[in-house]
Amino acid sequence: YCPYCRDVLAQGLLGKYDYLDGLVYAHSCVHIAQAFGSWERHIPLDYTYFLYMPASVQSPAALPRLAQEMADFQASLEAWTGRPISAEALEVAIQTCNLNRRLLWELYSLRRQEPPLLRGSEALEVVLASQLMDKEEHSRLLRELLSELPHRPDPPAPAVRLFLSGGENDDVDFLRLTEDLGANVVVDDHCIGTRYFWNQVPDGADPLHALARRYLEKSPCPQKDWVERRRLPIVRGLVQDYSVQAAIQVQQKFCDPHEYDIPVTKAYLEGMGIPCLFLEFDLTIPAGQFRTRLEAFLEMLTLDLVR
Amino acid sequence: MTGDLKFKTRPLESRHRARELRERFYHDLMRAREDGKLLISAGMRVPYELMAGFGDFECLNEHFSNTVSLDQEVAQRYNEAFEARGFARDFCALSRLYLGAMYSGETPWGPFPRPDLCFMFHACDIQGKWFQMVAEHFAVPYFCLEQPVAYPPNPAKRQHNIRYLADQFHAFIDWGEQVLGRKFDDGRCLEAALNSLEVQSLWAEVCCLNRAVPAPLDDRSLYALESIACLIRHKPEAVDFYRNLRDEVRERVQDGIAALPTERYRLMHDNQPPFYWLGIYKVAEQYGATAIGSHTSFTLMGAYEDGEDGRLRSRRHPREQGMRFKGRDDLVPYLAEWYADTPFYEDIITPQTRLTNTLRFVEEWGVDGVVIHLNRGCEGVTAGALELRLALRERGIPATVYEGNYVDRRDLSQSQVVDTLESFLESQGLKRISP
Repeated sequence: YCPYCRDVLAQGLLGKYDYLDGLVYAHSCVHIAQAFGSWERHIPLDYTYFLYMPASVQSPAALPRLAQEMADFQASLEAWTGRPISAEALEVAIQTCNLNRRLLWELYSLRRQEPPLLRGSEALEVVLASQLMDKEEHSRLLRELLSELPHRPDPPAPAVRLFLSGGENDDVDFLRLTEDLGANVVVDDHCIGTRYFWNQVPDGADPLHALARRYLEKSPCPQKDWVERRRLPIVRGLVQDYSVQAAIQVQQKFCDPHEYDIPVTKAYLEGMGIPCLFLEFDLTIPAGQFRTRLEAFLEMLTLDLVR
Repeated sequence: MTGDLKFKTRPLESRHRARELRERFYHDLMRAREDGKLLISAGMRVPYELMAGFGDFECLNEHFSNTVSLDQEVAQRYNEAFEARGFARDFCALSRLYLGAMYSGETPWGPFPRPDLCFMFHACDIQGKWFQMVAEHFAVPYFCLEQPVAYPPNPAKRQHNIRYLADQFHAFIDWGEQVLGRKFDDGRCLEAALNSLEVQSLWAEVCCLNRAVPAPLDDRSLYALESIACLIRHKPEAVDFYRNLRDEVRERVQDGIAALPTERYRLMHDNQPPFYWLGIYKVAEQYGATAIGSHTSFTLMGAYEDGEDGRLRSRRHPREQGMRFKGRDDLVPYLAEWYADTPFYEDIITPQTRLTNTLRFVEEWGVDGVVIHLNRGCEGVTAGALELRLALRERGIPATVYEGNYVDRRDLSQSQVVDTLESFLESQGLKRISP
């Protein structure tokens, strides 16, 4: 059903991940869980692991449960690799990932200014790369990028400052389309953006508890954003800090938790004076139709801004 | 048709009692305030046992949507009220009806009641959000539990999950005392628990009796009969109802009474049926095919365990075992253990366990073929459906699929479904034996 999950599985079935030795799934939703199950059935790997991630992230009971799950996962990895993971090694890994998160945050900070120092499509590529690459190598390249950006010869021109909100979005071409039309995504609230790196693993005597806290306290996906709504204040902060002028809400078709949140988030943003455009993503994206809708939205917006 | 009758049949008495209890339930629900009871908006799998510790209550749960869907004119009005607020029409169809009714301010029995609190058990992706919307609409307190998952099933993870659930149950008790300003009554909770667990066990026993040939019950009846457990399993009248039902079904098995006198093919209808068109079962019955149950009708309310003969049997409940509970500290972990072992939700999340359990039902209930409803209204149950078809076919068990929606007729084409079913049944060598 979910086009993203189907695509992940389809790529596996097509052999595009034939270099993998193992697969770990952290429980986020039914669709991706089913994709994981299908992967296990049809694409045998040396190692697979289902890492249970509580959805009730606001419950005090979730922290010990997730810390326990982390410990189980560590033991499972140790058994598979035949190598123990020491507390020191874990601490080093946490610091490596924290550094990468901090550098990504610094990169995003360069988008606060007007005009931003990088385009939305470029920022998305950097975050995507951080999800795929070795963290140390990514951090090294990111440091170079951070030092070079203030001197770049082709800085983005002033444009309508957009906020991209929704589930996962890895469609770089879609962001390029917004740029072709005189806009620039300056910040986001989705899984291949701030939700991936915004908060760090806190200091703590027990590294597994600290890791668990990080994942429970991160900017929530709607699937986990209850009983209290913690996502909306985060959205408000991003919109204000990045001087956002308008929002695009993107949604993967059949993603129920986001479908619940879209009207609520739309009303919230509009209450802040931020106009919204809703676009539904599927396996194929109607680029022509999206272009027309974006053009109309931006024209309307530009007129409003001129007035 | 007379020449094709192989078995005796007679109406099931308990269906009338089930109808009375359902009607009484909605009557009591609408009068809850006048009768001095708490009124809660909650999921059908929440531990009613715990809620009962705070006094008498009535609960408007997801079953409301199943019931409303029987009248599609009303259902579409609720759907439209919901969609007019900008919500998508491709997600959980039960929640669309429930929330649409809420936004319309109506139910078929009177105004949509304002609950005292919302209480949910989050297992599939939408449940936590659904009742958040209700709580926000009425500005009432909300507590949401979470059903944890252990995959692959293993004893250590099960223990972690039991502890996690018990911690949440204790937290609910503390929260309830705070928001309701009432002391939690352990005795009332225990009484409700004894009722509820016996009901879940009795329901499994009834489902196990349906292994008999001919099947004493059909799937349509199973859903109607299961509804009492969904609504009031913590009440003594539910225990009485299921004890009587169990006795009646036992008698039917002993006397060879069939749900379908022409039974010659045992069908499993996977996933919930289109409730507004239960005539779908008639299509199969015209070919002598009885729908003997399904993963959903067996497991949503049924509690099972492995028997000595290797087959599933109803789980032994505390009354049956003469168990004594000293207090909350041993009752809550025990309840957590029951809820941790709910196969219905675990199977939604992990396809392998669903395959294992469904294949077990197929084998133990002597199923000849499976019809799978690709139910657009419930993505959770449907997401692994095609894996199920594949697994069945690999084992030589005939299976077909049709697309629809259990509570929204806009997603179902009756003529196409009839064609699919008839083709499937004819491919099984069956001929239509009744008009």
